[in-house]
This record gives sequence, structure tokens and C-alpha cells, in this order.
Amino acid sequence: MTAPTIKTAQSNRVWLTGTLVVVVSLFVLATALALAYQVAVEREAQRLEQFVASQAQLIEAVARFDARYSKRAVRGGPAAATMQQVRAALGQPVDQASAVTWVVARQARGLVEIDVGQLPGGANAPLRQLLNAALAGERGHWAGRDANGERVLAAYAPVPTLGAAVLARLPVESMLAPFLRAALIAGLVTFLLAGAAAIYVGGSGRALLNRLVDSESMFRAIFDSSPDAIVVLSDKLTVEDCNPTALSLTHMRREQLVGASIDKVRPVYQPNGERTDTTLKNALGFARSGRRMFGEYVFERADGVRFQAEVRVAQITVAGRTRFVVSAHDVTSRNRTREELRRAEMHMQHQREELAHASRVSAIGEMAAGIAHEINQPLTAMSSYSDAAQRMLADESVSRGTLRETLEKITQQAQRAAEVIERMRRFTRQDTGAKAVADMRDVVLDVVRLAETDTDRAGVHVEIDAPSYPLPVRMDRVQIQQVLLNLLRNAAEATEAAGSDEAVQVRMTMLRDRKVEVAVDDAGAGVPDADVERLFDPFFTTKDSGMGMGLSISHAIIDAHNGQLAHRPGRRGGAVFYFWLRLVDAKDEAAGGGSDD
Amino acid sequence: MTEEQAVVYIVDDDEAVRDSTGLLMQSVGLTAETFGRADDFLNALNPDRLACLVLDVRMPGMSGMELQQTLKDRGIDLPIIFITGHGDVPMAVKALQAGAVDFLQKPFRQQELLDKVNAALSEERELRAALADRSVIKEQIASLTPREHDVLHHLMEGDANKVIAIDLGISERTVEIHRARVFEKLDVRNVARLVRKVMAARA
Repeated sequence: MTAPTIKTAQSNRVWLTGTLVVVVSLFVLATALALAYQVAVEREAQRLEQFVASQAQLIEAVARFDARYSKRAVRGGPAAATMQQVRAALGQPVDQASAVTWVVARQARGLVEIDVGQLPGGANAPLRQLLNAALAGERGHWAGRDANGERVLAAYAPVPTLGAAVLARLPVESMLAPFLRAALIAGLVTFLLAGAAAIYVGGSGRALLNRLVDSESMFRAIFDSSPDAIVVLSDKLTVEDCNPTALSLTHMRREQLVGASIDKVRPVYQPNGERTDTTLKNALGFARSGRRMFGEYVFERADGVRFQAEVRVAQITVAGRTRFVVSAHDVTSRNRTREELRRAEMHMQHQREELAHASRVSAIGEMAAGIAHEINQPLTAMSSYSDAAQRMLADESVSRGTLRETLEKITQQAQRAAEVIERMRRFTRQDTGAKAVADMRDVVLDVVRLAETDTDRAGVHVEIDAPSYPLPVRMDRVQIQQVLLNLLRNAAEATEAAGSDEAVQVRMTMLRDRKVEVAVDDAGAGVPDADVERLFDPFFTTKDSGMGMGLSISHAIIDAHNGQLAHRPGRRGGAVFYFWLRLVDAKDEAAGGGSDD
Repeated sequence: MTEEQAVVYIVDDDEAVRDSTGLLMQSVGLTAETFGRADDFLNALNPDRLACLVLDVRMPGMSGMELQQTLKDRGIDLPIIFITGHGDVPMAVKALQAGAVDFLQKPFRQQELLDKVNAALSEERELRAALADRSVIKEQIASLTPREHDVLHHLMEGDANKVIAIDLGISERTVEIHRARVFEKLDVRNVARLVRKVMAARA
């Protein structure tokens, strides 16, 4: 219902009520007045009847007296004499003010003879019939219109002794006038009062009405402008109302949707993705039980196009009537975007894994090349020493001491080769390690202890700076230890080479996005600018006896952990090698802590 | 022939390889001098001595290749035997193109190294003997055509083939042919030796 309709309806109602009140009032008034008038007329008639009766008795008495005592001879006997007197008496108006006229008649020889007054009209005129009745011995009164059309009261009574009758006639037209005046005044007053009441009710109602209309307009506007489709269902599950969004979403016209059963809109798939023939009715039944229904459905539009919508159903009760409000939010494009994002994420994850795999493979390849190179050195030396020793054997001038020295050198080189093999074995072993959650502080502490042999020999002190809270990181512990060991050894060597007394610092700091940075800060001479770019290249080394693999392998390991290893100049003039790794979320830790990845 | 005491210079950053190679040379009666760095070798080098160089290709600081170039720049003609590590064959080929005598890949057979060192030393010895006999060199120079003379002149100046071609108004290919013939007639393998030989004749 729109606002103007409400206003018109309300206005009409006010007018209708007012008119009805006036009409009823007037009707009641008119009835009351008519009754009062009738009562007054009746009372007047009775009075007139008694008066007529008393006149008749008087005439009767006079007639009897005359018959006994009159000596006068009147033609026609005593009766005639009496009538003469009556005529004389009644011929004059009894009361000047009274409008009563009299008729006295006798019946003689079958004819009615009127002695006093006149009766207009023929034998059938109403008053003549009354006279006949009185001659027949009846008495009574009557109200009505006489032969002249005048509104009159009439009363009649017989005078048996004389065979005569008396009839009095009183015009009552004048009696009506006060009643009509009263009716007119009362009617006017009623009308004015009703009008005033109507104006008052209408005026005070309009303010309230306007507020209601404004409120209604606002809620209607909200309803109409909602980005969600809203459908109001009756208790019988027919559509009572809907907003434009509902129409555009379902691709239906208002007249198609409003009044239709909700069966018309049928979800094709349930929230769990299974095909369904269950209508929305079931969901409504759910709402009917007082719970709020919420779910994602796939609907089919009238033109066959499918759309996904998040549907909420709520039961509302207004003025004792239960309705359901179904709101549907079109999530088709949102879901599509989400799906695309998910696919892109998976693709990226896949690529990251491939990259991690590739870098691991290349790390192994680089390592193999490095190992081959490192083993060739002692092999070459051993071969030369051995060859030289054989020649020395043939040369008697060479002392046994020189020979033994040479043979010892061969042993040393064999051990050197064995060490290289051992290093390789360590590296390949760590490759099979599964990832698990470990506290970075523990890992660092372990490595610093492990490296103590090296750092002590170099005369370098190591300081650890760690936060007081745990730093859980999902990692291949052995690999991360390998990286830390490598960085720590480099730092110790650099510090030793620079002859510094300062300590190597290992700092753990929290970064944003739940990342932890582990920095190894040495007191060495720092990395020359020219070398910075090649730091992580395989085979790049500044050491006399290094194969240039340590940092490149470390880099690959941190990459495989989705972290980053980098270098920056230190404040003390040395180098800082640092890497960051992501901390595991608390819930990941609880759910997957300790399990493999 | 009076036996001049030959020396084998060994430059390698790996101490064990350096030491063992030196010991190997000594075991066959050769004098060996070992250096961990190219710079140290350059400081100790006596260009007049009959010598050969056993040089590691990959070294920290100045690499073997860079040392080879430095010697060339200084006009020092020294037979070089390159020792290469794993996967350095392309580098060794480059070294050979730049005038190295030979190369060996680690781990090498010791006799092979000794043979190559001996071969290099004896070749060097022969060259030195040839330089002593100036009439032979003069004959060799005299056998050159006028065009080959022009090319020789430019080679003595250190000009590249391209420069010679432009200067003489001939194609680079022709320069190469002339150059090969000059080398053949003077019985040398590289420009450094050619220069040494011609200089010896002029002295």
C-alpha cells in the first residue's frame, strides 16, 4: 500500500464516519420529535374526547330536564326545544381563543340533520363517518385530514335521549409548528457539532498519519533499495511483497511473483552442493520452528540461468499475523572471484613447490659438482705423493724420514677426502628430513653449541639474543641447522680473520606478519661492494679453501622454507647474514604440531 | 750441451696439491718452486731462467687465466701447463688457444705430467739453442716473401690480424695465411716466440 493511498483512505474514512454520525443523529432526533408530536396529539385528542363527552352529557341532562319541565310548546316536541337551546348556545364560539368548532346532528326519519355547525364533504368524508358512528351510539376520537385536507383532531359522543350526536373538530396544524422549529434547531446544532468533531478528528489524525506515512515511505525506500532480494511470504507461503532486487534476481515481473506460491522459486543445489528437489518450504519449516535459517543455494531463474544466493529466512509476527521474510544475497560473482582466487592460489602454490623442488635439485647438482671438485684435490695430491714416494724408494739417497713424511701426507689427504664424503652424507641425510614445528630459539642454541668447537678454536665468542616467548616455525630442523652452522662458521672465520675481539651476535627478532628474523652479525671486515651481488652464486668464494657452495645451498634451503636469506652491512663494519621464516599460527601448531608436512 | 738448471714453477691454491706436485718434480730430479698465489709467483719469477709453469686454472685472487694474460702482457714467454679441476675443460681449451703448452685434468696421471713438463723444458731448451745460432734465423727471415715481411713487421709491433689487413689493404683471411707461413718458416708456435727469435737475430 502506497502513502497516497493511505492518505486518501484515511480521509475517506473520516468523511464517511462524520456523515454517518450526522445521519444517525438526525434520524434519532426526527424519531424522537415525531413520537413526542404523536404523544401530544394523542393527549390533546383524549382531552377533546372527554370535553365532547361532557358536553354530550350536559346536553342529555338538559334534554331530560326539558322533557319533564318545559311548558313551552315547541314544534317537534321537547327535543326540538332543547336543540334550539343547544343551537343557541353552541352557535357561538364557546371560547374565542379556542379553534374548536362544533357539530350537533340528529337522526330523524333516516336522515341526518345537522343542527349546529357544518360538515364539508360528502357522506363518505371522514368527519361525517365519525358523526354516523356517534349517532350509532359510539364515542371516540380521531386524528387525520378532513375533507378540506386540513389536519384536524376530532372527538365525538352520542346524545341518546335526543337521538343526536356531538362532534368537535380542532385543527392541529398550529401544533406541528413548534415541533418543526425544534427539529430544525436540533438538526442544525447536530450538524455543527458533527462538523466540528470531524474537523478536530481529521486534524489531529493528520499529524499522526503524516508521521506514519513518512515512516512507511522510509521503510519502503529501504526495502526497495536493498541490494539483497527481499521477499515477504504469508503464512500460506504465497509471496505478499518483494523488492525490485528480488525481481531482477529472479528475472520475474512483479505480477508474476507477487501472489505466486514460493514453490516457483526452487533451489537446484543444496548448500553442500548436492542436487536437491527440496523446495524452499523445508527451509521455511525450519524457520517456523523459531530458528533462523541460513544457507547458500543455487537457484534456477525463469530463463534457466543459474545463480548462487545466500538465503536467510526469518519468521516475523506483526499484529498477530505470521509472515516469513526471505532475503537472498546474490553471491554468484563473489563465489566466482573466490574460486578464481583459490585456483590462482593453488597455481602459485604449485609453482612455488616446483621452484622449491627445482632449487633443491639444482642445489644437489651444484653440490655434486662441488663435491667432485673437492675430492679431486686430495686425490690429485695423494696420487702425486704416492708417485713421488715410489721414486724415493728407488733412490737410496732419500732418507726414511722423508719417505715417512710423504706417506703421512698421503694419509692426511685420504682423511681430507673422507671428510668431504662425510659432509656430503650429512647433506643428503638432511634432505630426507620431514618438516616439523620447532622453536627457533632451541634450534639456534643447538647450533651455537654444535659450532663451539669451531668458534672456540677461532677464539671467537658468540652471543645469543632471543625473545622470552617461543618462536614456533615449521621447518626441516637439520636443514635450518645446516644454514645456521654455515652462517656461524663464516662469521667466526671473518671475525677471526679481522682479528677482532668482539663477539659474533645471533639475534632473533619478530617482524610484521608473524615472521621471525634470525641475523648473524659478525665483527669481520664486511663484504666488499664488488662481491655483494655474487654472494649467493654457486662456486663464489673469497676463502682460500672454500668451494663457494655454503651460501648458495643455504639460500636454496631457506627458499624451500618460503623464507628469504640475504645480506646487509653490519653496524660494526662487519657483515650481517640474516634470514626470515614465517611463524606457524597457534591453531596450526595445535592441529598439526609435530606431524609431517 | 751444458745442462742449465731448469726450474718448474708450481702455482696452485690447494696446499696439498702444490706440495705433492713439487715433491713429484723433486723425485725425478727437477727443481721445483711452489706458490699459493699468482702474485707471489710474479714477484719471484726470473724470466731468464729455463723454466716451465704448472698452473691451476681456478684460484682465488688472480686466476690462472689472468696470470697467463699478465705474463703475455709483460712479454714473458714461459711454457705453461694448465691443471684444471672438474668441469673446467672449456676454460682449458681457451688457455690452449691463448698459447698454453698443454693442460691436464685433475686427478692426472703423474707420469703424464712429468712427460709434459719434460717436453716443455726440452722444447724451451731447443729454442734457446736456436736463438743462439743467429745465422739460421737470418736465413729463415730471408726466405720470407715481401708480403710475409710486411706481416712479420706488423706482428712484431703486436698488431692484430684485423689491423694488419686494413693497413696492407688485404683480407683478414689472407693475413692469416701469410701469418701461418711466417710461423712455419721461422719454426715458432706463437707470437711471443716469434718476437724472441727475430729480436735474437737483430741483436
